[in-house]
Amino acid sequence: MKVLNKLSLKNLLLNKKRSIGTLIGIVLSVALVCAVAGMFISLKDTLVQTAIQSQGNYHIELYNQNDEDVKVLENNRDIEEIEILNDIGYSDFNEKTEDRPYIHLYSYKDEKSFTNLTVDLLDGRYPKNSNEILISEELYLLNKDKYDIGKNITLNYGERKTLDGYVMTKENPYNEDEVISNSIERTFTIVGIMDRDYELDPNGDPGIGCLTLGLENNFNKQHSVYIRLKHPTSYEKSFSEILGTTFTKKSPIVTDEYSVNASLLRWQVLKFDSGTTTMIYSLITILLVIIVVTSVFCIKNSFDISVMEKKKNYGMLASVGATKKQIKKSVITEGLMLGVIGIPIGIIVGYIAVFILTIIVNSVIGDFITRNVEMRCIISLFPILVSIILGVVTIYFSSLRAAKKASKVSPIDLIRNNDDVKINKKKVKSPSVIKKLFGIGGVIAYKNLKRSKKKYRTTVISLAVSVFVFISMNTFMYYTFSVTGTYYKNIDYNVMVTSAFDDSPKMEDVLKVSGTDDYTMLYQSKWTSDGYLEISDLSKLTDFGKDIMDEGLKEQGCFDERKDTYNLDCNKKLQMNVIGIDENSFKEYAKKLGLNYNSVKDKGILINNYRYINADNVQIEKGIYNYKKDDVIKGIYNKKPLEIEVAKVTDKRPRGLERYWSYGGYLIVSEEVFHDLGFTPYILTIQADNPTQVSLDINEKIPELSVVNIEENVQAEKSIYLLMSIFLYGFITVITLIGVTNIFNTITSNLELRQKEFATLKSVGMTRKEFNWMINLETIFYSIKALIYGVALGLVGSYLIYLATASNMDYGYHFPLAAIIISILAVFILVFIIMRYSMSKINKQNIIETIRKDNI
Amino acid sequence: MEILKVQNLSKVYGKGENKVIALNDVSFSVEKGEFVAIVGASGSGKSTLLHLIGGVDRPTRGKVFIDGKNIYEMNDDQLAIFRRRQVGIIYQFYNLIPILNVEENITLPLELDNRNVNQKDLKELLELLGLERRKNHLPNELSGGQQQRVSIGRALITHPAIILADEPTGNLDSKSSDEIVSLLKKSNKDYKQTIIMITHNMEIAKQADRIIKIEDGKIVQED
Repeated sequence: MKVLNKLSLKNLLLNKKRSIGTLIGIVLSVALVCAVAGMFISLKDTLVQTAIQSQGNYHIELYNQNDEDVKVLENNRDIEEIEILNDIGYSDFNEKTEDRPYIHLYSYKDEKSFTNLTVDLLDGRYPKNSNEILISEELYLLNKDKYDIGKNITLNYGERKTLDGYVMTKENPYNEDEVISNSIERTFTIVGIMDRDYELDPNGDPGIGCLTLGLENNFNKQHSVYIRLKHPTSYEKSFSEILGTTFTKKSPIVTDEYSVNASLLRWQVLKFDSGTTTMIYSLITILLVIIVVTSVFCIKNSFDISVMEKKKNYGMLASVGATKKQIKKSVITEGLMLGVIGIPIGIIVGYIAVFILTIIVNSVIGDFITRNVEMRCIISLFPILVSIILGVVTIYFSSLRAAKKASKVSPIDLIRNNDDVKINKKKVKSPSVIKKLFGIGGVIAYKNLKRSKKKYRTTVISLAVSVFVFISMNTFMYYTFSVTGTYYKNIDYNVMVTSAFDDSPKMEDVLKVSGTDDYTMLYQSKWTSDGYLEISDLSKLTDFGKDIMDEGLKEQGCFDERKDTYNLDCNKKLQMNVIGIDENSFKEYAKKLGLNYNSVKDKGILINNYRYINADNVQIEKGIYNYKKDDVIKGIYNKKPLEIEVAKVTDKRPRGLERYWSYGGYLIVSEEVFHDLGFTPYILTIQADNPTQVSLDINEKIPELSVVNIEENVQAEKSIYLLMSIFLYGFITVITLIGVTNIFNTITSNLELRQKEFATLKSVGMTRKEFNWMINLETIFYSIKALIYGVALGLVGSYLIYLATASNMDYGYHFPLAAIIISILAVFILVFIIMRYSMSKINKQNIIETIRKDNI
Repeated sequence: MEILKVQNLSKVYGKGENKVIALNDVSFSVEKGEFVAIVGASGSGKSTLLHLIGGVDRPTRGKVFIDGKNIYEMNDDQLAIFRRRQVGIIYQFYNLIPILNVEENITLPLELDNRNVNQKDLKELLELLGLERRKNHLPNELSGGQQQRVSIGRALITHPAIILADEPTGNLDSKSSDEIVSLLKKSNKDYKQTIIMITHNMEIAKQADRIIKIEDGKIVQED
């Protein structure tokens, strides 16, 4: 080993405390980068797994391919694997239901397709040959004895045709005149039951989907081909080749010819257009910038300090003839030695953190979000590479800067330890208040701060940066949680039942099934396109109301999403929703709004606000109408004039309507009083003692209705909330730790460099009490300074975050008072502890030894 | 009048095999207004003696009386206060506070003692030191000799009972050395200031009223 390298190593070992301080900074920074990047990779993997679980492991599905096409695809080098699905045909069966009178039989060509395309097996196993069949749960539920595992089922499958010979597909709903032709009889053994697969068995298909293996389509010899690409990253090129037309990010993902598995591609290549990927990218970028800034600052600072402390050594080296280049090299070698130790430890620590986080995620979130998918700790090259590059670059440039500093000053300056700090020449008048209040200690402390600003700059900046990051992150969390937390906030029911328009009368049966009194039933008009209160006087609309009406009509065309029908008349008009509510609930609702039930029972309550997310992804919420209390709303309802007086204009919604938004607004009336308007059930909300049981009961007895177990969703939401807290607070903790390391390094070195000065003060007769007082004052002075900068910047940061995330919602700017108080307390406590630690060492030292120590 | 009395003073550093006897049973006394030089080779114990007299270190055995007070009966804080009122120390390396200017460095002991600065005294002192035009300079803007003059000013400002100078010229060229020594002599005459100076330079020592020679921790010669 060369003598200079030896010296570098010795320097590290001798200045253990400083080396460890630098090392901690490096380890924390690298670990944080590695953990964020590693978590990102693991999250990406989870999302890919989830997409595969829900959609299947393929990138594009091609419809109507003949045997020739399949051969071409099999020889395409871009394709890793293809799966072939055959639509075998429809078969009548005995348990005819009104709109689904058939069994729709499909067959995979290969057994592997069941797993690759994730057929969701509920019971039994996948078919192994063309005599075995996997049936949909729907079929099993129709007749549990007849359609069970082990039983045989005989099908006569053929083509659906209209009377004039036109072949019908799964897109065509059932027509009473259609027939099954060219049927073939075949008996299958039921080997398994699967969840309904909406891919095979979409809404509107009159056949219940079932799957077998190895059968060919005898009618048109066409296949659906699922393709998995070798290199999903270049999906645009591969798709273009496969489809024979140019495919870009902007191309439609579903056409008559193909359908792209966008959810898999989105997470696998992260290039696919989506607001979520953009959001994840910007979030990761913000986090990385914060980490890089904090850690670069911390590491750079450690090196500056260690060079400052060892200046004399370098002076000695220079005076015995070491060249600038050699000194530089020695400093950089020292830095790289620390990197060689610190970076691997950091990566290991980072991965341990990822591992622990994945365990937490799996246990907290459980099955709520990703069914059957566990988050895995994926060790991959990317996070390790990013950490190494970031660590090496930071260390290299930090030590290079320090090395330049070490080699720049002349040997004699270095030896005399002069010029450490440029002292501000200007005359500083310490305000007499300071002298009066704090005595000479205060004056010296004040002058110290004023005249050697640079000495404190690093400490002040470190503190200020930490405070700034803390306050900003705190605001960020506040708004994130406000947004996520409001979804199920203040909801006092745990089961919600809705239905398609036609099935809605069945909702009244639910009340018998659930057997609870605590419910609210909302009704909508049973008339389709006439079942709205058409406002004749458009001047009652606000400007916002006019805009959204135009937009709403344009977007929807003549299709009425609300009632799932086409409006015959699509002229410009404003249709207010008239919603009936059961008598008891109306009483409750009126009471909540502070109204007297008897005086408002024959009036309507107008819900006036509309909320939507605009093209810039910003949520906007405003009022639609100019109506006020006691105004009379006039319009046409079911072709007859109708007038209803407004009891109150509000944005408070009745139970069940919290998440429904319509540009027509809602007029809530008592169903009993306005019975003649012709109501049919719309939304039913129940506060059940056992929501899980009630949901299951409804599901089983009246399967047409859709039931949401709100309590389950609330649980899921809480889990997400908890998880986000863990992530964000974890992040803040590590960032703060890096900050603390930095502050610790600067303060201790600052005090150590001034030891001689302190000894002198003592030797001219400063008592220990006075001395401690002076140091404490100094601490207070610069803590205040750092807090002023940090809090001011933090407020700016938090306001910017407010503008970016929440300004367009109904949250006002939240002044981060708690965060500011915590910062102030934390800064003072932290600085005092570090000061005390270094001071106890200084106070123990003998004055004279200290004074003589540095002299040659 | 006897201003300083040193009685059987001993200082032992370390223990067992590492034991070093720096000072071995030293006794002497100094009259008010006397200018005493202590000489000896390096390692002879002269600095230890000075530090013990100045109360910045504590002896293993023995007593030091300044102005009739046994300084080692005081606790650390009392000693610090005593030091700023009764003892002025001048170091070889000046040890000025880098962030305070000349005037502030000189008045520091008074300020520490919460006493008002007599502007007339200060002006006189600055004239004596030849620093009137440099009173607003910071230490790193001064030459070595000038810095040492500031530290003499700092020692003189409180009119202490005794000034201890530890190799005050050890770091200076001969011209500056002469200036410093004549300054010390002048203050000794003008203010009747008692001064004890350590040096290994016999030329300088000869200018004192009395020379005490120390070898291996013992006084070997007094004249």
